[in-house]
Amino acid sequence: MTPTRPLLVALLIVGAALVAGCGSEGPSTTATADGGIRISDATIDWPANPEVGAVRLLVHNDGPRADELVGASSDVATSTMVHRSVTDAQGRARMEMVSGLEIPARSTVTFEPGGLHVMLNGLTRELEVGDRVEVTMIFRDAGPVSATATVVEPGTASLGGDAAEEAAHDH
Amino acid sequence: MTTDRTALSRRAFLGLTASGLAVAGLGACSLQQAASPDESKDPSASAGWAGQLIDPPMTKPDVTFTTMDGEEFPFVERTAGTFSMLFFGYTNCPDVCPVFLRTISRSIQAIGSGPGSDVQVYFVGVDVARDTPEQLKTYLGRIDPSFIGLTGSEDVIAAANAHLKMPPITIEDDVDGDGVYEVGHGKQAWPFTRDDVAHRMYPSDEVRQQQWVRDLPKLSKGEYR
Repeated sequence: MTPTRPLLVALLIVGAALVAGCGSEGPSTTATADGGIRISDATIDWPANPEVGAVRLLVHNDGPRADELVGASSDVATSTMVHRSVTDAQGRARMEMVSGLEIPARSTVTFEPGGLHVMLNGLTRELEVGDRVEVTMIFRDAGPVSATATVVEPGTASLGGDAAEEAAHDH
Repeated sequence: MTTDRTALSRRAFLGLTASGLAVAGLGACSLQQAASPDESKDPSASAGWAGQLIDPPMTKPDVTFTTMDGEEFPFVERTAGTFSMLFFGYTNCPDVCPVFLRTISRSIQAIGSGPGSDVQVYFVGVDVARDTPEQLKTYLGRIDPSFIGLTGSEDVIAAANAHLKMPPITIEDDVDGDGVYEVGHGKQAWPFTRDDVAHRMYPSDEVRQQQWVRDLPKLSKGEYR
């Protein structure tokens, strides 16, 4: 056995511990499908624009094989898409449509501000803090995986807000 | 018409490698702690400042915006001698804009009273087709009713944007007619101090509440480095 292997195992353990730390705060709603895909920590900041919302969440792939996120839907939006916030070469903040996002085996992909999010366009009803909204993420192998996203007071989400920052400092 | 409407195709994202994603996912916690700007670029950062020093300082764009009440707002004249934060965005922005505006709002509340709590935030809605005075009023009313929304013709907004040396605003054509189209805009936030210039620039998506709470009172008192 080469000496690099125990190091790799140690890194994986540390990595898994970091992920566990991330998801430990705040509301946690989890859905599991046979494909080993789970969704947790789904929240929506109470929208500033009553017509659009952005979902933060974690996608966990507990299985031994990579999967692929191929779409998303929600019954509160006329269209639902996976977006990534990017800064382009000229320094502009822009949204990039994401299609075919690989979810590697035994990994967690974070959807939070500044990165990936599920955008709800054309909200069909007014969302209020505390509302629970069904969001379905569609995977190539696992198929549709639903999660319940809670509408939260902005700034209190466990992912990517100041609350998350404080939690991270507490660890 | 100076707004850049060059065809922004809806490019599908396909490229991240498995290892890159795994690192991104695993690193989420530590990234939040390390989100402050690169301190090596700006010596003032080591003295406890976020954002970047702008030297020589940035002057105000000499344009006349339109307020949420539909009134003319000559920016230089109306903000003279005040502490004013200028930021460009759009109301259908789901991510960077509301997060930034709410962070600033919470920061002002956290400061409470005195220097720093006196900053007036101005939000320029660049997506003129949707960012109507009425829409800006709804949007900012749900974020912080003390914030002032500004709009104007595309030419006025483009002139202000160019004056601030921000990249041209891009507004994708609504080819499907479904109201879903992409807008690209500079993410800089400009705190114009009482001397009517901005000595610092803040990338809106990189500054945390605690950094604003630290910097705004100093800026209000005329300090910037």
